[in-house]
Amino acid sequence: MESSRKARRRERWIEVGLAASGYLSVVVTVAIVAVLAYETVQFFRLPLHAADPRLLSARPDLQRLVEARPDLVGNPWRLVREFFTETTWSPLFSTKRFGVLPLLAGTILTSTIALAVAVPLGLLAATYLSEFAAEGLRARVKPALELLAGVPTIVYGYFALTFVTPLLQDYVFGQALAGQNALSAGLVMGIMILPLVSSLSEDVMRAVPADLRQGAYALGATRMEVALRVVLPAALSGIAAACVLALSRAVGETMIVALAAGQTPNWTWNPLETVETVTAFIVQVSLGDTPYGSVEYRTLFAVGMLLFVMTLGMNVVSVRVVQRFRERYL
Amino acid sequence: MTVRSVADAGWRERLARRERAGAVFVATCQVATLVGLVFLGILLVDVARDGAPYLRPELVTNFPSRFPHRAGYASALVGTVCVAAIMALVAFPLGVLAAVYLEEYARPGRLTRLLEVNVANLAAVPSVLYGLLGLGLFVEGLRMGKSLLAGALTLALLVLPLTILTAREALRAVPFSMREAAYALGASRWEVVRHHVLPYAAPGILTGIILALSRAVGETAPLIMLGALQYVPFLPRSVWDYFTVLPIQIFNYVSLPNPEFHRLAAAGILLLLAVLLGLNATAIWLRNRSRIRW
Repeated sequence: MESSRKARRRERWIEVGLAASGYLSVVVTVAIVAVLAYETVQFFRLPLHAADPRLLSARPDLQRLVEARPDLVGNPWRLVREFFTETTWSPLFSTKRFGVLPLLAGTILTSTIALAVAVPLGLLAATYLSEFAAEGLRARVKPALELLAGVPTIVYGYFALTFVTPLLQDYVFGQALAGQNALSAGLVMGIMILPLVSSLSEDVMRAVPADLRQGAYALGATRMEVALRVVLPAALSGIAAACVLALSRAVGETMIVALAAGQTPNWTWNPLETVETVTAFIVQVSLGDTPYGSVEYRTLFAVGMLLFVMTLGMNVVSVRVVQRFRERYL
Repeated sequence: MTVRSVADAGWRERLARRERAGAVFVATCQVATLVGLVFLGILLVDVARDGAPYLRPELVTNFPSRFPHRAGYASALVGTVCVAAIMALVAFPLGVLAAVYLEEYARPGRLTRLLEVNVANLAAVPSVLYGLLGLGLFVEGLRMGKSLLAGALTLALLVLPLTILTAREALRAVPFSMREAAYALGASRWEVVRHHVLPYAAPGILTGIILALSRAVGETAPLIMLGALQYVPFLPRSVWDYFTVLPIQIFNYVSLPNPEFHRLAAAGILLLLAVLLGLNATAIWLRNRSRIRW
């Protein structure tokens, strides 16, 4: 009797320990949100800090801010408005402008180019592997394509900077293409997220019930017609989810854009120019000396928060889409 | 309304056209599939050609230097091994235990659903944000400074969701009859997990762990925030030391204008790819050696 009670107590403790490690992931999420939110609020409170003479005397970074932007002092809402609506981003320079739109534009531009590469190529590859390729070929090609996702991003960055850009300069654009530009970074990033699109889409297309295909064949459709007009529409929501996931990966990708797209904020939609993305800015600030709590340190977290909200939004959307898809087909 | 016969000449012509369109479509699909593979091939050849002249023993025995012919990856290589080892000690036990909880213990319900969604979302958070978390939490919050330990813990948080996801897959693959048989013989829940489920899921769990490890070894962005030190001419002696890792050292060399350093970076990439290839080959070997068909 005694031993069984002891055993039961032991089981209980084990379960508690396991649950604790299970809930650790929630703690991590809370920590991420808390750190980002706290520092972001501190960023938008900078104008208030700058208005406090005691803080000001001890903080050279705040003094520089006051000197460059006397209009911001004591006026946090002006900073909020500037952050979301203005088109100059220069917190590291003496002008201290905080309009985040150029970084956002850089992120959108490079990610759009990446999607323009990855979605058509990925869908065609998925269609081929799921509908046309022999089983043996598929079993070999699919993992080979997935290798692309396993290559460290620093390697892609190196390749974009030292191979793709010079190649495009020599044969296509000449000197119109900057040494660091959105185009090469986007192209290489597109190849990086290609397996995400192709593998996920292929999974979804293979999950389309065979009855649908056979029905279409019975009506006299060719293989292409079955692939394009039956399988593709049936798998569309899963494919959409894969594309959103790929976009979120592109938006959060850091090393390729930091190396190949550049580290100069640029309010432009021209893919041949140097642009800076949200992630590249985070790298740029981290490379320099940023004392804890300084103006530069806080901009890091403000743009980090922006990135977090964007990628989280996309993931939530893709999960929603997948759920709807599951209800219908499985 | 007219009914056309199947033998109608126009129909035959249209069918031939449809078949031709199909052939063109398949060819397009094949080309699209090839693009990714060809790209990978060109990338590997390019990196190998760039890095070949620097593939010599000094590459792994020398410390970083202002002179490319004297520079090497000694501190980065040792840093990578140390960071990966500490990270593995922290992340993998926690990740596997969390997976056991979710798969074997947690009762289905709102709370469990929330946990699952949370892990899935964490796995999709951009790695650079884990760097910010590490900077805010470990470096500044817990006053660890830009140390080896802070870097390893940050990477541990980064690979935790990935470990949980793959370990759960492995646990789920163990058939339910295994558990029922053990319960029938009077085993307790933990005994079932410890003596039956975990051993059978071990190869799958190990494969996932190695994949997570190779992800961490190739990760650059989060560590830039924690070990941005450009120049580390010593081996780490304690977990509180400054450190550097292979991808960061590569990044430093690529950022320098001198093209000789680009070649040195390419040689470092070859080193990194060799490490990753070794890890992945181990994973594949493990998977093949112990594949059980139920």
